Amino acid sequence: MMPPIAVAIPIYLMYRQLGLSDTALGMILLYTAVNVSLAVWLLKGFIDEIPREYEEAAMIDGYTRLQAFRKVVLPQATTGIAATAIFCLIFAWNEYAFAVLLTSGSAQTAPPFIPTIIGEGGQDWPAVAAGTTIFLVPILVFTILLRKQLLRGITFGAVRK
Amino acid sequence: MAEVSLQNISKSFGESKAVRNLTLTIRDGEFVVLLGPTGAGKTTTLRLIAGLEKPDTGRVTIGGQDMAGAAPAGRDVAFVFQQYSLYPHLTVYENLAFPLRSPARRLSADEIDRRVREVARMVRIDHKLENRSTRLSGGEMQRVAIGRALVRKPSIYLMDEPLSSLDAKLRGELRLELKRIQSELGSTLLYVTHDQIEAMTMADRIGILNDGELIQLGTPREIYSNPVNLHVAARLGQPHINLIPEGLVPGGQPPSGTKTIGARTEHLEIHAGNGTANAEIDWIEHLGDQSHLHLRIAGHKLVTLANPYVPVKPGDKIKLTLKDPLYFGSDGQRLV
Ligand SMILES: Nc1ncnc2c1ncn2[C@@H]1O[C@H](COP(=O)(O)OP(=O)(O)O)[C@@H](O)[C@H]1O
Ligand SMILES: [Mg+2]
Repeated sequence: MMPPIAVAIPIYLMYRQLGLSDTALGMILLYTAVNVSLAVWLLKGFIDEIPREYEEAAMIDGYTRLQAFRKVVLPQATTGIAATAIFCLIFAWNEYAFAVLLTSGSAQTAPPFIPTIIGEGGQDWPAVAAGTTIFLVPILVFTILLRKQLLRGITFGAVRK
Repeated sequence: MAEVSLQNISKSFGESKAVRNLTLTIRDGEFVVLLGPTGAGKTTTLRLIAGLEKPDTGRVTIGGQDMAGAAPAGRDVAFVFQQYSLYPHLTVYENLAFPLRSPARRLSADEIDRRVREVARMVRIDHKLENRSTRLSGGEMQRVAIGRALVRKPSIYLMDEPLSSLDAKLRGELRLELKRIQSELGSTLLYVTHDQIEAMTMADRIGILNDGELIQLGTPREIYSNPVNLHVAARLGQPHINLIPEGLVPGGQPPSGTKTIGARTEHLEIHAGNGTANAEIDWIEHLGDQSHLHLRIAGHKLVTLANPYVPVKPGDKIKLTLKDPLYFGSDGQRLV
């Protein structure tokens, strides 16, 4: 993995060619591509932590490999999936460099937009403050929604007292 | 239930040979215990039967059918693992129901409920059915793990040291329960352990496994009284069998070629030895109901059991003789 910004120029040129500049689709594709490698790597770590005996036990209990994965591995990986999801969301939500480079109007994200509020007609600090606060809300809500999954992981370890 | 048979099974992991040319038949309804130290190949043997490993050579048959190529789900075996016995994200009830809910079985909800409750009573966990499986004591977890195997009526139960992580008292209790349940159900059961007491108390037949090889197979009595070699003799008996050179202790009739004599407590006789004493008492360990006598004879140390009221104390001289001990040749094989 290299710093994504290292490929900024080729991506910029490519997006112009393909007509993906300043489109939501372009940004979705880009952030997915950048996140996928990190997400796979993180999730592999979480799933490797789950002893394979569980999967084997399920296979002996009459489940196929795929069913065993769904019934036994996936539920135990919820913490890892939740953490990875939050990580990916924060990355895409916060990303600045590509957003500045590839968007200007119709697909502009919040990070490049919020500073532009300052420019128009003096320094409108209340607007900037409101913008940043609103910017925080979705991350906060998402984390609160997933807190059960995140916490469950912490209590999993406590097997015997 | 069914007869399970291993024929000339070998399995290597890279350079290390986990199982060597193992041939073993577990009869229908039989409780067989494989006894061996860590690394003997016990777990691998069970995994080969369950289909979690493929043998390099040899055949596994269950109920007469060759299992080559059959997936674990298709073999109709139940497995109790050494560790990680319960699904941590499920309750006790769901853990017990899990094998019954498999798409391969399609039982009705009522039938599942009935069997789960029946087995929960059998392993005495019915008061904790709604608990998270991570909220149980070690003994309860192990009972649920055994219960999860018992809810099914498979061809064979495979159990990998299911009691080894428990404390001595609980182990003793569960040992009895398991034996009781097995004889009530008439199940075919292959149980592996490194604990000689579990082997002696539960098995119909014991197989002594060392370094991937089955060294001797027989009833607990046969294995204890007629071990084929030094290794088997040393696996059983508390205190550990005394291995002494031929000619050190008088008594017995060693056959020609005897190099080593194996003397358990019941093979050693102690007499008050005024004048004819040949041994000295080094130390006495009082266990309460019995004592361990540590003896010294011509520079060799021996341990034997004695009644705690035998009037001896460290430093006493005694006369020690052999009574029908075990004789071994220079290759370690038993001589009769
Ligand atoms: N998956 C594996 N990969 C490599 N070596 C293994 C594997 N499983 C077992 N072994 C080796 O095979 C031998 C027997 O192991 P095992 O069957 O687990 O013994 P036991 O259960 O009697 O302690 C050991 O030397 C062990 O290191
Ligand atoms: Mg093992």
